Amino acid sequence: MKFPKLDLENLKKENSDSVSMVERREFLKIGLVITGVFAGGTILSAISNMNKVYASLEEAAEKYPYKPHYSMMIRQNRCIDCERCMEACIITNDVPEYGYRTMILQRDVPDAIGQKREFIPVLCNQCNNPPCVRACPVKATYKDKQNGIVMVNYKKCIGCKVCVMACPYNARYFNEEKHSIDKCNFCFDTRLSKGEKLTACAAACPAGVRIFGDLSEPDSEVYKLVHQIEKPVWVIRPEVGAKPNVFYMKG
Amino acid sequence: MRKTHLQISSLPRIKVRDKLQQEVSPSTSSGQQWCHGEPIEPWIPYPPIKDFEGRQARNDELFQKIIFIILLIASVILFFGVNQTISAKVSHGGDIVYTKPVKSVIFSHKVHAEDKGLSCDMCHSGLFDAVALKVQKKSDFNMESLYKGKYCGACHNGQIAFASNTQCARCHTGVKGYSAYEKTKPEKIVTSGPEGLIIIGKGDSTVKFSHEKHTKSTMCGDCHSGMFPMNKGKARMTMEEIYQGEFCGMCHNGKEAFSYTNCSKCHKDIPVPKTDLIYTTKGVGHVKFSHDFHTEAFGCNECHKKLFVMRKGGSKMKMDAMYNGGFCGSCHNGNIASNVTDCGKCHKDM
Amino acid sequence: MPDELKPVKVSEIVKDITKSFDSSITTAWYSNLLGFLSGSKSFYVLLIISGIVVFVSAMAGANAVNIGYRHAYGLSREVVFGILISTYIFFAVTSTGISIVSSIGHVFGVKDFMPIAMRSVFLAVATLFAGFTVIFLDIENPFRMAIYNAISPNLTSNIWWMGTLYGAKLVFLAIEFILLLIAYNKLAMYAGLLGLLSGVAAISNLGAVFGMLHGREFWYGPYIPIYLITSAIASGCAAIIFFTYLGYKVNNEMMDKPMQRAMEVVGKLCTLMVAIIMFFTAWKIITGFVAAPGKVEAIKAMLSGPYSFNFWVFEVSLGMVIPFILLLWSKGKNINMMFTASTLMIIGIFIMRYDLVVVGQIVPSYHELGVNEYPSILTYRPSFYEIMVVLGGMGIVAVSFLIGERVFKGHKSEIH
Repeated sequence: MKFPKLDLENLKKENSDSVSMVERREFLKIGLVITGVFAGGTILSAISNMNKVYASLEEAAEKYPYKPHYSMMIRQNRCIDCERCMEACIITNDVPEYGYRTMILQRDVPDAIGQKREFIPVLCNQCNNPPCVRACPVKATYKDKQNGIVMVNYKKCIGCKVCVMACPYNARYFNEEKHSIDKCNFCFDTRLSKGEKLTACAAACPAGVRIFGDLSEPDSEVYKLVHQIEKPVWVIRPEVGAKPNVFYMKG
Repeated sequence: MRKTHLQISSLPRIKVRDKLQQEVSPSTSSGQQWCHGEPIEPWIPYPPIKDFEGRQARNDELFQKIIFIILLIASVILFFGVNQTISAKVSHGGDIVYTKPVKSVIFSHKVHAEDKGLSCDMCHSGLFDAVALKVQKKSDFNMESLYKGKYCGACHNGQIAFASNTQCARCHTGVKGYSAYEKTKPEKIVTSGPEGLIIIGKGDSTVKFSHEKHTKSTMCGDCHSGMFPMNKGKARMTMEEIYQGEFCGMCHNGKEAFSYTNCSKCHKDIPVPKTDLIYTTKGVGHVKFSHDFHTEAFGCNECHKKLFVMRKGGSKMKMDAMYNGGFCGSCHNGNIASNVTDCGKCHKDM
Repeated sequence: MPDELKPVKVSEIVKDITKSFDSSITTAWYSNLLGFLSGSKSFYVLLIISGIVVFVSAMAGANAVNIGYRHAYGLSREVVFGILISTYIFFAVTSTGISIVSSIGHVFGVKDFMPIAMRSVFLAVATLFAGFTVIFLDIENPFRMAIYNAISPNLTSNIWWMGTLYGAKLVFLAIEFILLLIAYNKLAMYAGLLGLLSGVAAISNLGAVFGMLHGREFWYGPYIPIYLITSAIASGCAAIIFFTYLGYKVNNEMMDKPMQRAMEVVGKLCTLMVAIIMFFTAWKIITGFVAAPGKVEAIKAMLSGPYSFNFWVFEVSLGMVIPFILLLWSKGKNINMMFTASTLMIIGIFIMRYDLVVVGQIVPSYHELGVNEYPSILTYRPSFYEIMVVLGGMGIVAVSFLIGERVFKGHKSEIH
């Protein structure tokens, strides 16, 4: 194989001044090429095939495979562990006391300057590449084709609990009353399908921690918070490759 | 048949007390055998008590048993008594745990008053009453008020201290913090107020106020809820106001505490003259006024200062004024005390 | 004076002991014990004991269903696979291993392996059936499984493939056993081949149940499926030696020459496989030191943490090192030594499966977040009900083995 001749001595250093505005716009659009999520400058969540390039943000929004594409942004720095979200979830969805659908974790950093503790809400991330859906032997859990929520068919579940093992976020538990696996479904059967716009936890939060909405709608707050690069946005355990739909930021 | 080592029934029955007697006073019969032909040293946990003449106390065994039991009971009482938690005495209000509107925020007086060295009146002069958790009953006790500068937001605005819309979890400990706090069973803090005496007033009429004495039976908010700011010297009070039930008169009215008529209880420096006051008048006998006699029946303010100035010779007294009810005549009018017309009662040597 | 009252000479006793050392590693009392076990009275005693164990375990299992698995078993939200799953894996893998080893003989025609064929096929079916009963009492809705596995399959699910393939394997092996009984050897060979293929596919899917979970770093990777196939051959060899030896003792018979030869080659295969799995284990541990933080934690727990006793004593010493030494020493000829080695191996491998399943779950999912709720590794302890169910599974194997020995008259086959 022939290598091109490179004049290494006289290569000019290219910095970002030489990139034109058009090129910059094209580059930024590549962030949205993977249909879906442009999370703080990093492609953290890919939904469907990656080959499509979109001419504009509006077209990209149209091509979101789920309508509405339910997502949640968690503004972690505002969480004060009042646990109203947990209580609302328990009341709305009949969660038994030995299990939980959403939980607040506490992280203490004694050496930190200023604030020494933070609270991290966790729940089912409604992944775009869910390991639980792949692992279930009887398709009792599936990703809804309309809205992207990972649902559980309580009649089919055989209780083998391999989905509990597969989930990287400890979001699933066995519910004895339903005698099947249970998990957060963004209050679909109890609220969203009845016309409510928010999940019980998002409605109950007094501090505006949980921003729930339709990620494919450019006017929604979730969209605006996910598609900004000033404040960092991240997901938990991206290395697992589950491509979650719940994002975290401090803002 | 094999020989038994010891045939108990054949041994003489010896009482230990008798044995003691014998050991101490060897004039009695020689030591008896118990086992193996050797006299046994009786085990006494204490040496035998002898009275001043050297005689052995009677019933010394019983006596010493009683002492032992008393000591045992005393040590048990001491043990359980001493095991009480010794409360820490601090000059601030301890930890205040707010559970409304959200659970929970644990406000630490120690951090603010001790570590940061803030004075009490920085918060307790209008922002917060000195009654724990009174402020959370207010309907506007929420974050919006803090952002507008009320309550904690007066300092936590970004300039004096970190802004209240940053570092949420620095104050908010949440449900988990509340459970953890309850579990640790925090030691009872006794708020004894600032140490030392607060000097009120000048000169002879100074009053030395002790927080320690008062906080034994009162809470901070009983005084510092509006009437007394938590700043030394801020409250300007007069005795008139006290008589009307303001300032110290709120309690020192004879009902909750001793009456304000007991001047010397607070005004320790004002001497009640022990010697009698001699008033000499030209042409008539002098009058010997005895404070001792009069203070037995009346408090200081019955005469001072509305009738008499608290300085000898300060009140220029005239008999005419007395006949009209002034000076001594306000009581010595025949009704309360002997009439001032009875000259010989006071003007001696007439 | 009668013989019993003759004073015993110490030199004669010593001579007896040293003589017994010539034939086996064990002393005379052990041989006497085995002699007792060979009688028909002992056979019924063992059968009754196993039967009682199965019955009591069935009652315990029924009670566990009644009170609910959350109260009966020691499982939690984070640790959902316990000793029942590991016992199922143990039985399923042993069954596959037995069928692989015996298929060398009657499927691929290697004559030295042929004498073990019938007993092996019977045992493969029996152990797999025992595994199914154990997992029947772990799955919360087992009857739904039969229905929805058929009408709503998920082809990306390893559990579905494993369940289906093991079911197919059970059927194929049962058919093969029947065909062998009625001496349709050619057809039996085909059935055996199908059983072997479905068994190997099933065991690799069983490994992939764990290996394809990216969220569980201790399990993730291609290692577990590959390791399980190798370990299956090793444990299959051990099980064959174990049960053949016991079978001959129970029937009070001597092994004939072809069977002795079969034992020898199985023993040598076992030695080779143990050597291989020793390397597998060593490299899993070594690469674990440089793996993702979750895996490092798990490996540390296994080497020096709460599972170190399990690992070093059972998995390494009893399961690999001591059997390896004994098998080498026996040179395949000393059947008693090989029996001891295979017994130790079975115990060690049982604990090894337990470690595999439990250690993979003890590092919580949110461990790297550094939160107070998950400060350290999780714990799991098998409860009474779980242990009873495990004993029940072993009892089922014992009962079916003992009955099979009598019913099929020692599994003598005329395969040449």
